Amino acid sequence: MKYKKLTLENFRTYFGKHEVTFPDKNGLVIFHAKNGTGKSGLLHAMNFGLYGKVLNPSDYQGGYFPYYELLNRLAFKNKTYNFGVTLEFSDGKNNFEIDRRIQLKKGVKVKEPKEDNYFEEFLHVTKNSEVLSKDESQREIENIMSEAVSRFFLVNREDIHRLNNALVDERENEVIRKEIERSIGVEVLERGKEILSEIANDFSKESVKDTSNSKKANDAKEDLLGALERLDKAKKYIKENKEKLESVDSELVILEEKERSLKSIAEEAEQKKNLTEEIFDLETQKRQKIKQTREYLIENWFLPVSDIALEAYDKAKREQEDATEIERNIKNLEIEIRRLKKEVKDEVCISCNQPINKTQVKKIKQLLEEKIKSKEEFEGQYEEPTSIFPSTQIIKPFLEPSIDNFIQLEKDLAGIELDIHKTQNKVDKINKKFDDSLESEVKSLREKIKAKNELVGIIKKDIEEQEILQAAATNQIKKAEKEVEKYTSDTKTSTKKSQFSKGIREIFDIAFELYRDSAREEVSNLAMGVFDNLINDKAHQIKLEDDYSVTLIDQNGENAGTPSEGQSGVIAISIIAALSRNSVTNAPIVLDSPMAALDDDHQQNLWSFVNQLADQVILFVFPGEYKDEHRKNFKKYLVKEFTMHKEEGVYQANILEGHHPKYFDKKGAK
Amino acid sequence: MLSQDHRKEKILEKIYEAISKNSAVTTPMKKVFSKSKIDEIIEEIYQILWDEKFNDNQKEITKKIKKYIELEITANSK
Repeated sequence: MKYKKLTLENFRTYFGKHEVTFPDKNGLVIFHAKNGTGKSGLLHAMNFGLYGKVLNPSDYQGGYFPYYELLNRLAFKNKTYNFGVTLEFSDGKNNFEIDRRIQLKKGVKVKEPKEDNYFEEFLHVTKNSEVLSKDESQREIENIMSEAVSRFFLVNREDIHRLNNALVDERENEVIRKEIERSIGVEVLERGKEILSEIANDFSKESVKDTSNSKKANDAKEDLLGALERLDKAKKYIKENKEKLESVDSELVILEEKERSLKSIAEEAEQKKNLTEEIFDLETQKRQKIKQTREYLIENWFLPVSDIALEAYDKAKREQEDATEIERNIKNLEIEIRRLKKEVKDEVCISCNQPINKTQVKKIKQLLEEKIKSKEEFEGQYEEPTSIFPSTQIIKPFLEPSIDNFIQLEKDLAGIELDIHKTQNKVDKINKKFDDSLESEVKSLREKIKAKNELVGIIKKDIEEQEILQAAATNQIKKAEKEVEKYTSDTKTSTKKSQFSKGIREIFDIAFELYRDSAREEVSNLAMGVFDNLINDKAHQIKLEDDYSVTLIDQNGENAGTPSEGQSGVIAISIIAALSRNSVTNAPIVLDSPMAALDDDHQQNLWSFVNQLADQVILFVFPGEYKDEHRKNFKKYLVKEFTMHKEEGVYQANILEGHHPKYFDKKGAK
Repeated sequence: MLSQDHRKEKILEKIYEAISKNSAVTTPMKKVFSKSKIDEIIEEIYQILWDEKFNDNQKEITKKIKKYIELEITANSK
């Protein structure tokens, strides 16, 4: 198959009619465009032209874009409610033209028709200019490139991501296994095997009815019919359970996709939990530090200083009492001295107011002198009491070493508080990003995933058991068929049909095993070769398992863990390359932004290799994937280039022939 | 040769390999048809399977092949 021309009208970012003519020559066609210009739009147009629908990459449930989202916004604003794609291609023998248009149904008078049921599809397919019926059209398209294998030929960025997930995820791998086996033709023989087994069983039943009725023949017939019945039952049960498994698996894929989309929240919730625990630890450290500081202060400052203060207080108190006593004595003596002096002067007794004689005066004078002497003695004894506060000189020896330690404790405490502050800031930042409801959504998703996984386990076990029964029944059928054959020499047509169809069934059984193993080996070898070609780190290789899951291995053949994003991109491209070369479909490969996750070296490698993916390779690249120095790697395979551009915020993209880098610098873009 | 034709040939090669390696299977078949007719019928069945490889209606293909075998046996068997 080779694309010849693509015409779009009011499709996605393309307002009005736009045409892209692909060259006849095999080779590389590149579309250069900034993100948001309409690269994916062209890929979607090819999908739409072929299948009439476009998967919405942001819909986890695998939904398709509604028509109004495929319709150009400007056309929608202008109330032009129709769009279409015309795809011209050749399958090597015949020329095809698919013209698919969507128009507003007659009589629909809705202000903004957004529902698909307001629109109708018109499909017009020609083969060598002859118009095909609708059924013939779909059949021809399916035969040229079945929608089921299209993900290996019309590959957008999300497909690369999904393909890679599927290759490493066991459950999705079952889906991809079927698609791969369909693409490389294993399914042709697998279906042949099933169909011929069914036909052989039908013919066996017919034959049994026609065979002779001898006792042994009847027993063998009964055995055969019983085994056929058991086989039918097992088949029915397996079919039902596989359908159930498929439905649970697709629910699981949706849940896991959702979980992946909330992965950053889950990670941040985990980080928040860790940070909160860290804050709790820091708060504990802070409390311990405060306790330590308090104990240190009590032991090294408060207790010694309070001892000193107490001692100073006791001493001051004692001195105060002594001084008060002396003051009181002095005061009493002063009163007495004043009284004695007055009696000497007046020669009258102050107590009885009677005159006193000379002898008594002399005695009083003597007493007065004694009192004065005694007062002078007390005055001599008097000392000013000391302060109740201890002097700084006494306290200083206790304070000086303690202050240093105290400063250290204070520093430690401040350090802890700073850590708490920083950690709390991180928690606050996380809190701003999401609320608790998202956290609980993640939790609930995980619980649902766990439950679904358990259900998958149960169903798989049931299927395994029934498959054992099915295998046993198949063996019994073969044995019983031989028995029936042995006891009958029937030459009736029914016997011939039975004998012959059993033989064909056997042949397809064996051919299926032979082809499956050899085709898988071919895909595996080619994928390994491509990977080796594309990857710079030669210490790693890939291994394709029997179920087509991919393992990254090291030089010793040991599992090298989960591939990096870049390695994943290379793995996906390697598988696509291997499948396209071994496919029952011969179609061009269209890749949207295949180098987005690759570093410069790997981009160079892919640019050198990309032409080998298929006879016609169409790449959509944004400026980050293409550099002028890459040109030398693909120059000789390049058959045509296009540049897509549009003004920002305007739904009017244009496609120009040639490479026009001016549209990618800021000035040009304006 | 286109890759799809190449693939078709490869599968057919494996069918012939299965026939040649398992004479025990083909011996009873030879009671019904000659060797060349067996090859012809198997190729025709494979052609139907190949042409219908993207047809999801397995019942329809089963019916087609079954009818073809019946007609060949009725018309051309020994």
